[in-house]
Amino acid sequence: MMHLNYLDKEISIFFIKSTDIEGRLDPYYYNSALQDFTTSQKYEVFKIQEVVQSFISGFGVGRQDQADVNSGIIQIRPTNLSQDGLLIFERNVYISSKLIKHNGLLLEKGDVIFNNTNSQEWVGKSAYYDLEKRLAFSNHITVLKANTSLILPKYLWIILNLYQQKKVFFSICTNWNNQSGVGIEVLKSLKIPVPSLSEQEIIIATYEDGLKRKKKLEEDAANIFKEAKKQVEEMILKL
Amino acid sequence: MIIYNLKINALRDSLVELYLLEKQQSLTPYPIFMAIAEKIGYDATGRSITENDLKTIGKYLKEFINKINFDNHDAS
Repeated sequence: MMHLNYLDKEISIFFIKSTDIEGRLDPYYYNSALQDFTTSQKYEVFKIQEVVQSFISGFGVGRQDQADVNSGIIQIRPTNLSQDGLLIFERNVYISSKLIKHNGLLLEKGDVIFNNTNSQEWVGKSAYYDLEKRLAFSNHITVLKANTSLILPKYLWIILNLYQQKKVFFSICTNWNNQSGVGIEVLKSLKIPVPSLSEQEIIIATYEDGLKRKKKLEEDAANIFKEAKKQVEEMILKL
Repeated sequence: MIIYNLKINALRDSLVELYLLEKQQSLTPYPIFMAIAEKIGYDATGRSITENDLKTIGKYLKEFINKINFDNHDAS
């Protein structure tokens, strides 16, 4: 088990044993929440490449190659992934289907969509693809196909989003000017806890129930506020 | 063909990993000093700020180097 010997926890000054080094020497990696997920939890830990069958990145399309809503298909981009890891279609980019060279470049139900390039804060947000329609995806996206005998795609989606929210990707990404990236090799070697399939199902049910309740409360809150605005309007108009 | 390439890459990765692990374990363990400086005396616009983590890090790093030098001197 990895052990960090802190000299100052507030500034993050610590020693690490040479035998605990995992092929990289950046302090952010060892000081990140990743250590909590891989060393102090109750499940067996796997590298993502051990539980995922394939990793496919999409391709970039310039403005000149974009199509319109009638002649093209949607190319999933980071703007199609909400902060909660859900697919949203408020702002879409369409591309010509002629650009799709083979079916492997189209999403299929059960895929996990990983956002490999974004701001440091948002890199790593992920979505579960639950649509029958096969859409394209951009080079900002890496598509993971789970080995379902070991990991359920929805569990993979949840753990990737948990890592994003706990700033694991924030800590291990590569930073350029205004952009941060998690390359396929880094993603492949990332360790995650993998419970049994039945325990994964319980985790998924808990997460989805939370999302459902959150959505309901947000709708209720929006209605309450809408009603309050209506009342205020009536009060003012009565004056 | 793609499946074979994937298998070859996975085998190569696991062999490299085993090699590195064995190499790492064959060396005498030693401590590695790590620190994260979030505040460095000025902000992103270049204006001076009072917080500077480098001062504290420098103090601990100096102690760490002195200890290594002392241990090496002691051993010889």
